[in-house]
Amino acid sequence: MSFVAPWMFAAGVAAALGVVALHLLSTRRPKAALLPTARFVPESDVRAVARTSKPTDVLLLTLRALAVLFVGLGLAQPIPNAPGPRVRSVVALEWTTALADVEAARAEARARLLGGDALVLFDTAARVMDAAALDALPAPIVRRATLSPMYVTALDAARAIARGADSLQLVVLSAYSADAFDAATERLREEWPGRVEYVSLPAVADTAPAPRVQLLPVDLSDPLAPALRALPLERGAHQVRIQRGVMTAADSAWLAGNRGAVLLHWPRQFTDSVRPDGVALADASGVTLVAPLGRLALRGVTIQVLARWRDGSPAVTESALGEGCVRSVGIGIVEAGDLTLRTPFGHFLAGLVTACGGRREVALSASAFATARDTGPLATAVAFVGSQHDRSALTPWLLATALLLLLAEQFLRRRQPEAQS
Amino acid sequence: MPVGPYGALLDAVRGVRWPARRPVPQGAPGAHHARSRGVAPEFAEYRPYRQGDDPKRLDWKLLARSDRAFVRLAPDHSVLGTTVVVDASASMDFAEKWLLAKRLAVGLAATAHAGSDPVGLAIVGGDGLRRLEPRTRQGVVGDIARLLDGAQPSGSAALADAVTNSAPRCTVISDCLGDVDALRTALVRHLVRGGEAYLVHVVSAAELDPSDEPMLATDPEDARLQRPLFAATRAGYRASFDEFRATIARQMRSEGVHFFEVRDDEPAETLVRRIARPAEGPSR
Repeated sequence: MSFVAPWMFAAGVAAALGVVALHLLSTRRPKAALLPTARFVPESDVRAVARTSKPTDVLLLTLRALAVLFVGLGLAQPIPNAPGPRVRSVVALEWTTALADVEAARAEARARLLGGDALVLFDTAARVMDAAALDALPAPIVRRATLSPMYVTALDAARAIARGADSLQLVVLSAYSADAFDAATERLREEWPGRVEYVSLPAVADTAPAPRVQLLPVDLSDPLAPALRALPLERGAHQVRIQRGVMTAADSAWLAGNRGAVLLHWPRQFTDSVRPDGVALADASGVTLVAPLGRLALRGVTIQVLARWRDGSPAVTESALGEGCVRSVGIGIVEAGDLTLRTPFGHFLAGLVTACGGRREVALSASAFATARDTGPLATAVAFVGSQHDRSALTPWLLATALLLLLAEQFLRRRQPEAQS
Repeated sequence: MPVGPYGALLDAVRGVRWPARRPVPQGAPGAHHARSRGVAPEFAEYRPYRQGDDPKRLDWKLLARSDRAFVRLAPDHSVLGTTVVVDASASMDFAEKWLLAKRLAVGLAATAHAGSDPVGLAIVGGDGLRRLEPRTRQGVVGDIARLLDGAQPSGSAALADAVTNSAPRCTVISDCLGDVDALRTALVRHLVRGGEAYLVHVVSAAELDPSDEPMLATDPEDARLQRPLFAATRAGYRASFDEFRATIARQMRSEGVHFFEVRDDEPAETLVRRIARPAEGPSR
């Protein structure tokens, strides 16, 4: 049995003990005795308070103590234990392409889900799922997850399963990439009134810097050609096509035929307004390219900015198309010179040929890792039941019993007026 | 001497003398220094012969040598009548107060009688005044003991009247719970008349430190006066009683009354010696 307001029960017990203590004190008229110096005794009430070793009026004491106890019990709102496990779990499973082994994550979640538990699936959003639907869940398509919506949904799921349980635990199965933590994560974590178990799942190593890149049209005089050769390419990852000319239907067909492919539209176009400028990748890599550059117009619908000029304007944008993505590069480079052969350009180019969605940080940062570690007691189910303003079904009956006891006490007291102390 | 239960006390105070605190008026020859000069063998001073003096008191040798007539004077001694006034009010019938009062009265009477002083007794209680006039004959102490044993404390006592008709040395034994102002006035008048006044204030140990058990304290002389005495009022009672005793002692001593406060658990013979001991000053 658990209580919605256990302190009320404690107060009831304390009040009952107080009643017993009061019955150990009795006020009575002391026995008269001759004292020639009685005139020097200060005048006061002749009823003196005396302590007794045995409680007076045992029947009245019993009725009063029971009434107080029942009142305290009723206000504490006891909730009987329901059948089933006393500790229930909310299992939050990250469902993104960042997971190295989706089936292993599914098995891990399935192993942790028992009867009465709740399943929360989360990526950049979170939702409560039926645990039975876990096996039929399709493969994830979202690349990243954030923990903040997961905490909010987990609280809702906990309220739904709290009744009848003693404690609730939150189990988070995630790859915990650094971008899963945002400014609200820590505050939302504090909303969960207990310990959280964090289970780390293996993440894919998608920071592979060098996919298979094809440059169109093939032109050895293109300054990008030597730069691509200088990249430490790791063949066999996703495919990248850099279209230096006009986009054609063949490009669209190529994109549709290669899942996860990246079509980079970087016109080989020159401008007279070349001037010293700076452009930086928008991810956390900190790669910046400073050189005489020209700003070109960007095409397509901007979904995500991959690089920005020094004044904040987009320099490289990405938009999804089918199962791949198209990137528009608005950076004009001077054909003459060794810019494309220099190391900063290579790093910059490597950032542009990453898989759709840009570079992702899968390594957990030190601060995020500290947040993930958690100790302390589990959350009590009362914390969730109380927040729903639920009332115990026993409370009216307990209060009614207390009322009956008080009526009986009144009746008994009137019948034995002299017994009242 | 048929003194019953007082035998041990009388043995204990035998040899104790109770000298007057100051020269007594001239009277029958006794043990106390008198204010007058007599013709005793001890020389005190010369005084010029006056007409009417007995020629036998002339110092003839001095007259022959210097042709001047002087009379030889010597210190005179006289008796000092003593009345022991005993308070027999109902308040004295508490604990050992009455027993101590009786023993003190007998002990002081025996001490005074041992100095050849006439000794009398006055018992003042609810039954009125019972008096035994001061006498010097043998057996007077026994008479006093019998009179005391026959008395029973009751009612309230008007001690002032007994003091008024007392012998020159008046000794009052009382718990001072009656009309103390009237008693003080009577003692002062007694002092003015040239007498000596003693007040022995009898206090019971049970009055100084009552039982811890809560009680409804009832005045034996006024049953309507009832006050609850328990832990909360005990301190106030003690403070008030202490102040009362201190006030009486201060007032009586300032008037020249020889004041003694005695407890009913003190031995009577010790108290008799203390009371009869010559004082260093006018009062103790």
